Amino acid sequence: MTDNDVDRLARVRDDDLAGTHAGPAAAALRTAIIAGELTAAGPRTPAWRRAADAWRGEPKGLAAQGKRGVTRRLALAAAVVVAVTGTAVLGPSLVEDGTGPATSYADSTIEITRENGDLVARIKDPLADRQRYADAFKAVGKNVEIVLVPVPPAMVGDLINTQGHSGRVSSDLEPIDGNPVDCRSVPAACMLVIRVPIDGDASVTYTFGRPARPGETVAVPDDGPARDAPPDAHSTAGG
Amino acid sequence: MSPTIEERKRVAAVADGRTARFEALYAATFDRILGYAVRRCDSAEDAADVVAETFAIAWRRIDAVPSGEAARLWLYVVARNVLANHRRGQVRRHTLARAVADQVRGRYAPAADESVEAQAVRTAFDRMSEEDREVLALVAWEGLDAGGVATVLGCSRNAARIRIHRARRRLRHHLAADSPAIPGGAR
Repeated sequence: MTDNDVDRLARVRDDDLAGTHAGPAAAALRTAIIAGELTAAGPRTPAWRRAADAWRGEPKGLAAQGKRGVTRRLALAAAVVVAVTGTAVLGPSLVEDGTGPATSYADSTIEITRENGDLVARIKDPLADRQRYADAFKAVGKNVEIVLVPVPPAMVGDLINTQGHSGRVSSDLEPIDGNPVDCRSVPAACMLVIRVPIDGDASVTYTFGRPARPGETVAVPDDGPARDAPPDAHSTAGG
Repeated sequence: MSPTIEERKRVAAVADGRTARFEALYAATFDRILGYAVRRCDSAEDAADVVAETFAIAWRRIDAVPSGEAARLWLYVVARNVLANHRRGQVRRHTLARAVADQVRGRYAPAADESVEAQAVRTAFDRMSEEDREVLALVAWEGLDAGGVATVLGCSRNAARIRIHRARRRLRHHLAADSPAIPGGAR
């Protein structure tokens, strides 16, 4: 059967590559794409030309047919902007040497940037799988795990526990969207910001407090057994 | 007038939705698109560049990417187009793709123990037109049916069926002509 014959010629099968997407290389590439770093103009093809080619490559019938003209104009207009500003987009958030870690990371759960010699992680989704945070730190070359546990409002954002090598670490709460909010009184309206030094590759797990969901059992590290959060702990000032 | 808090929240929610959607797409299809590129590119670096460019386009066009299985076909179409540009020397080197290339470089080691039969198939396959090769590859390597082949190649399902049939017939013909003694060459 010719299909089997041809199948044997394949250099690799998809199954052989299963899980590659979850590795640090693929994660760093994904971060760069989302950050827009790959839209910068390259040395060979003008960006407008690539965008036009990409548009032509769109499958017929899959995109909304009626929007094609508009879509094309927008794509070309956007591409011209990229062509004009493109090279300026290349910057410090590119990988250091092509194979090393990325210098920044962003996805829907966490964002890591460099600020004044520190890596600053902003937790965008405090309920995300902790592996997502670990993958993010791995993408920037750090062996840091973040565990978030539900705590009473007064303890949100506090460092609760450190496992492994204890380096310099600090945490803070920042208002989401820059809204003027007193994070200490309304922690649920704020984002946890964690600063760790860029240097050092020791493996460490930090546990921080996050707002409890309504009815969720909160951890009270030093005061005996866990207790239930008040039903409105997530959305109101606490104490 | 500056946007209200509500407006800013709405814009942020839309952006987060697009990001989450792209992440899900990336997780669901990256391995397969990488496989597609590795099977067709002559070096790990080229394959990684094609993957990087393909997903960069998908990110820019995330609102146009269909959902479900159609997303994979959409990406194959984009990858196919990127690959064509690549062969014309029109795709950039992506520094960021190098780490991905490192992961698949081992796949480019020459197969030491390829059987005589497999060598015959490779020779016959290489003698076919690029179009025939792609039709057979989409079926055998990507596991597509006639409908999927039609979408990726931009033809009707019926045309795809005919092209698959003819390509198979030509491969058998080449095999039979090259090596009449090999069973794979027989009808």
